[in-house]
Amino acid sequence: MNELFNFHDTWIVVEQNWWLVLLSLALGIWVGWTTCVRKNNAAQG
Amino acid sequence: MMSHYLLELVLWMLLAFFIGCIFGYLLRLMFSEAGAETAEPAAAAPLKAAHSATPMAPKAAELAAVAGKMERPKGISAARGGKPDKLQRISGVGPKNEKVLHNLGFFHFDQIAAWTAEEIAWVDDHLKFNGRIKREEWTKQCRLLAEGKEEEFAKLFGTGGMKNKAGQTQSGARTRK
Repeated sequence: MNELFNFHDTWIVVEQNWWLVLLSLALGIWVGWTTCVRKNNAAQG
Repeated sequence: MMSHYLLELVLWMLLAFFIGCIFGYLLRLMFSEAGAETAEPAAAAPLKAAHSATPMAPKAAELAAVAGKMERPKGISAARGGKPDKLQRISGVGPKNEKVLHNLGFFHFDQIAAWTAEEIAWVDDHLKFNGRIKREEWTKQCRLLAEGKEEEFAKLFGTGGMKNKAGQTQSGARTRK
């Protein structure tokens, strides 16, 4: 259990899979962007 | 150990995703606000004209046409001689709007009668009336009231809160929506 929540060396995971994290970030930006557009359109209608 | 590694990776990806969501949302909000500020004068007229495809379209379209060059009418700080006109006589003006007009510096019929199309557009936009001032012909009403043409006013707009021949109070609600 302790090991499961041991994030002491967690930065290594990011360093090794930086492209996956970057991809998630990009996906998040895209989702955030489109969500905001939809909300604006709904407000106009 | 492998599951731990995967769990950490998924957590990092989720964190990145959420940060991205917030960032993307804020970015879009920022850009759309900046875009709306610069593009609104040009974009507002066709949009408003498109929305006013109703029997009242000509007036609303006319209003939209001058919406790009709105101008705040000059009010006065207090009523002349301390006696404001009874603006509630205008069909479409109640106690609330009368107070609003007073706050904007309008106390007399001749002030409102003198509004130009640009000034009407400004007041209409400021009070979110959606074309009511034009539709209810406030300037025409005020011109008649200012010139003392009570009969013509009564014929066109009712008695505007004055008593009629039968002694009944009649509101000038002909054009009220």
